[in-house]
Amino acid sequence: MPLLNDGAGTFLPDLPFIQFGLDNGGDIPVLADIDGDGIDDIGFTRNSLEHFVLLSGSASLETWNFGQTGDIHLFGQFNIPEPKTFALLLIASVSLLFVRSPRWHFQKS
Amino acid sequence: MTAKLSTIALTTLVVFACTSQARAVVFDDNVFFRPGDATWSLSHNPGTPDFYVAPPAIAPVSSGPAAFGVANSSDIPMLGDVDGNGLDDLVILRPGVQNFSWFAAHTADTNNDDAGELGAGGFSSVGSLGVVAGSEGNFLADFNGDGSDDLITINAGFDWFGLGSTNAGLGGGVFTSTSFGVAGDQPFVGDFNGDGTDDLGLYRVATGDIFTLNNTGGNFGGGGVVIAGPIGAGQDSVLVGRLNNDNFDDLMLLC
Repeated sequence: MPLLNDGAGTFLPDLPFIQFGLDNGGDIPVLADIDGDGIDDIGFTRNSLEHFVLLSGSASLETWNFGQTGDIHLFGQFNIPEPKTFALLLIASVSLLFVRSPRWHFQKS
Repeated sequence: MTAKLSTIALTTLVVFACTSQARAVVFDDNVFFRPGDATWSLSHNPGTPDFYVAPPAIAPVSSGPAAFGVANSSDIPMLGDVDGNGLDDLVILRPGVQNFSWFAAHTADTNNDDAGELGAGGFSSVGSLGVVAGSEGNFLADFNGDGSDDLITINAGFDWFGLGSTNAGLGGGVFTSTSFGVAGDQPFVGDFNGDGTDDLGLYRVATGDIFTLNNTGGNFGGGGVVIAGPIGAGQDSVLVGRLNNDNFDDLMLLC
């Protein structure tokens, strides 16, 4: 997955930074801000979806059952955001997950 | 006087320190659409402390209309804030014989619990926008910067058509169009110059070039074309997101 950061409004190529997911497994890539740090996290769904698998900031694995096979998953904002004061926290975790069971996978930024 | 000034200065510093660290905490929520019965379910992301709490402690919270769309049909689910209330709405893109129809179920926080209820804000629709045959893409994006996501549809000749949304939902706003791209290009949308309006973009697979057409004043292309590349020729697809801490949307190419 090559990443293109926009910088000053033009795209600057970055190095390919991660291999994540299977290209022959029907994985559907997703970008969504799962942990609310203002940076989208990377994930994918697998066709026979019934679970989430998430990585926490400490790189621990989280799994969550949700939905049925064939469901179409979307991510959006359905809560009223509230301003909160907190120390900016950069969470970096990298992992490769290759499981055959129907699960979601997220790489959290 | 010195004590008073010191108090004011200290107060100012405290206020500045607090506000400089304050930001709206936004956790993306998960919605799933089940084509078999056209039902939608929403799982509010509690964000405590991360995404969903590990099972089996938490169960999905479903809310919203029992069904929105036609079961076992070609309805395409989408999400976007089409009424500009800060909450994403459910949108169905329905291919007809010739044209697309667009339907929206508006999300609203009617019980004031800071969690939106699907469909509680009413409905809106646009009967016909976009040609089904050879369609190159359909998007929800705020191309005029008014805070509501507008409709964008691209036909087989890479003519882009945009119809603005209003606080009442889909349609009713400005209509604009432009030609941008050639056959084989992958279109995308996002705010690539940080001006608060979504711009048009193309990934030319064969060469790896990226083109963006920046929008200003609610019209496609008012900001001119920006070309970047060649980058990553032959990649499979493009994703748009915020991948760093600036105010510009970024691209991720998947291979």
